[in-house]
Amino acid sequence: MWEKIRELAFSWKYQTLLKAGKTLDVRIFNNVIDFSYVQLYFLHWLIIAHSLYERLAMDDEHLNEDVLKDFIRIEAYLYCESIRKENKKYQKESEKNEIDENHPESFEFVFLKPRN
Amino acid sequence: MEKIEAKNIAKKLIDPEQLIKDNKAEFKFEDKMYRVITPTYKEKILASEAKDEKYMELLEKNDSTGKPIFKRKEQLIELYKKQGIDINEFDNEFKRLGEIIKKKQIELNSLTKQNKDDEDKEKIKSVKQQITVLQTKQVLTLNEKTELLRYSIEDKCENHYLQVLIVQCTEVFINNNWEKLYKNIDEFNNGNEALNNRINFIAAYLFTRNDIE
Repeated sequence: MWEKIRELAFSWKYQTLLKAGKTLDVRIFNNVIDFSYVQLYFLHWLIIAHSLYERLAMDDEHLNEDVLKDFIRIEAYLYCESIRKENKKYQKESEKNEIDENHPESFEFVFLKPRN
Repeated sequence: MEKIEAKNIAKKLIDPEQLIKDNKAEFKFEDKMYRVITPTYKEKILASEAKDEKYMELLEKNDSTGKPIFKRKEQLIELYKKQGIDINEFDNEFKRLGEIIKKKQIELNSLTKQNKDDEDKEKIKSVKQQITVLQTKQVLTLNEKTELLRYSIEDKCENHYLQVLIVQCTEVFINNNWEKLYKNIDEFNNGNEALNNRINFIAAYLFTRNDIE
């Protein structure tokens, strides 16, 4: 059943409703508060699906149409993306540290104002 | 076997779209329509209170010699340990399998090519199969642990909580009206097993709390 709910999130119908919802008053659920776990689970995958379709359109080298039809491959992609993101973050931080070491003038001195 | 069969039938009967749209699931069983609705905040509070009462009741229940009949999870884990079953080992095994799955996921994603026609389909199929086997093993490990701990007071109370919600939220369509199917837990426990299996299956989706998973 969880798989069927994820499939719905990836469907053309709900992706269209998600996009339309930003400009038109379109509601996916009949309730507006007290979302059940099933609904939150669906929303979670609706947003992931939207982001994956966008990445596919931007020619992400780790994605293709077949991946988006297969949840084992989608999960593998999402896990690898989290690693790639973490690595990028680490790389950026180390680059920043290198710059600071080469240019000690990049340190800023902050003078605190005395209290009145 | 019958439970698995009931689950399979229920899977086919439940419309996932209706489930997410209306927070309810309707189904037909032996010429009658039934529905399970997501509990309201008030219903959850009532069920939670019933759960607390059950906890105290089970905690204070003694046998004829004055010894407590039921055990808390912690006590049960200790008892199993004395008998040579380490419950923590199930968690360790679950994590170990999870680590292998992650490695396989990296392998699977590295096989992805931007152009799907350039992919090694056979290799992808094989890695996917390996992941499925590992995930099934994870589920079996979790089931084994759950089965051993279902005798604990906590698990019995959780079950009681679900039963209270089922009684509150299950309805049958009679005389053009939706009416409560069961008046109390005893009625539910004495009800049709095949029907209750379906209700339990739906309840597992509708009653899952947001703090789980």
